[in-house]
This record gives sequence, C-alpha cells and structure tokens, in this order.
Amino acid sequence: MAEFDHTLIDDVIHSRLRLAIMAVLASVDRAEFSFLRRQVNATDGNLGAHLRKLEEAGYIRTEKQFVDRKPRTDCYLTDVGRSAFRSYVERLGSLVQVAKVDSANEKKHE
Amino acid sequence: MEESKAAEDLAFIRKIMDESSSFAEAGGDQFVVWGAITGLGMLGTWAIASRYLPGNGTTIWTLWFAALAAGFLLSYWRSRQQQRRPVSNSANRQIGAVWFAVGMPMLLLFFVGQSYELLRPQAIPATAAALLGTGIYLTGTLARINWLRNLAFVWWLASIALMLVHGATVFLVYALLLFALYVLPGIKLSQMARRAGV
Repeated sequence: MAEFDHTLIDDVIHSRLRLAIMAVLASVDRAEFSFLRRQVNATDGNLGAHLRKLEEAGYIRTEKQFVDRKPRTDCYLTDVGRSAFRSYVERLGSLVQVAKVDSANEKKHE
Repeated sequence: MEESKAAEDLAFIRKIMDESSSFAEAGGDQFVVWGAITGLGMLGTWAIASRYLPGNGTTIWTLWFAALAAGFLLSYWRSRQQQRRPVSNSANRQIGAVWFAVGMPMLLLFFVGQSYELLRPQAIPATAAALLGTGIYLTGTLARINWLRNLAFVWWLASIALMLVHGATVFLVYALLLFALYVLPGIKLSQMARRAGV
C-alpha cells in the first residue's frame, strides 16, 4: 500500500462542522454569524463552541459589534487558518490519490 | 481515516465553498429605487414634452438633475446599509461592478450626449433598455436566478420595440416598462432576500 501519514491531518479542522465553517470562510471575505449558521446548518450554541475552538487555534478571528442596537458577530479566516485549510484539503486530496493508486495496483495484480 | 470519507469530505468542501462564494444579493431594493426614480422622470418628461404639464427643456433638465440626485443619495444610503450585509464575497462585488459599469455609460451617453445634442432624446429609452438588459442578464447569471437572467431577453426585445415608437410616447412606454420589468422584479428580489435572511 502507498504511504499516507494520518498524523498530518489537522485535528482542529477534522470535524464535520469545523470543516464546514472553514470551507465557508475560505470562500468569502467575511461572514456574519447568522450566515454561517444557515450555511453549516448548526444551532447557535453548537456553532459558537466550534468558532471558539477555531479562534483559539488562531484559524479565524471574530469581531463583535452592535448594529442598530443588535449584537452582531463577523467572522474572518486568518492567514494561518487559510494556510491550514489549504494543507488539510491537499492532504485529503493526496489520500484520495493514494487510494486510487492502490486500487489500480490491485487491479494489475489480479 | 478511510479513503472514501476523504473523497466525501472533498466533495462536501467543494459544495459548501461553491454555495458560499456564489451567494449573492441581486440588489432588489436598488432596482426599486432606480426603477421608480427613472420611471417617474420619464413620466415627467413625457408629460412636459406632450404639454400635459407646463415646462420646457430647462424644466426637463432640472427634473432629471433632481431625480438623479435623489437616486444617488438613496444609493449611497443603501451602500452604507450593505456594509452590514451578512456576507461579503466575490459574487456580491461582481454584481456591484456590473451596475457601476452599466450606470457609467448611461450617464455619459445621456448627459454628455444630450448636452452636445449627439443623441436624440427619443433614442434614450431604447439605449437604456439595451443597457439594462445587459445588467440584468449579468446579475441573474451571477446570482444564479434564472428568471432574472431571462428577463434580460425581454428588455432587449423591449429595446427593439422602443426604437419603433415615435415621438414623446416613447418616454411613456419606457416609464411603464420600468415599473413593470424593473420595479416589480426588484420587489420580488427584495422579498427573496428577506426570506433568505439577507
């Protein structure tokens, strides 16, 4: 079997919801909490907890402000987060590639 | 980590990124503001040119300066509101660029063209309809709203029809078209945006 080092997979991103949050933020300049919640289909509490985890890792930053007396949280991907997300996607891609090579080798031996 | 899960995750990432980057607000309220303002301006132009209202060329110029000033003030107020949009992405920036690119030639053609009498006033509605069709087509494509993109073909057909209308009636026809094919779709787009929580 071809080599794949699973320890290189980023545990912070490797959760379905955090992966979704990172994917959304990687494709926009800025996203408000309510937009993120709708895109990733999460509850307020769940999304808040995962955002905190990503923020602690330095992958995202949030800005809280009041607009028309209503609280509003804007989320941004940091440079560190963008780089981590890119690496994560590349590693997923390499894993898929490894699987393809293995499958082709197996067919050859048959 | 299973390979099949990796492939599934990659597909999931692609889907969510595609949805988020293309999430766009078609700017329904801008349609309403500019459609109503230019529609009323056209009605006024028709009424003055047809002698239903008193006035002359200067009155029409004054009317349009006032209408455009109101339009720009409302647009400025709206653009400040848009800074509060729930998402800032490339699709929304592109839609903004489309309408800037459509609006500039309109201003150049109509103000400069009229000032130097290079463009007949009766040619304005057909030219504007063709440019509006272009803006609507690109907005519909970027926002992935098929009915809006198809509306562009109606505007281009309307442009041809407006070339065949003679006299001041062309201003009345264009005003009615603006209310039917620009303001009403704008109301529909605003309702869609509100439902989507934008």
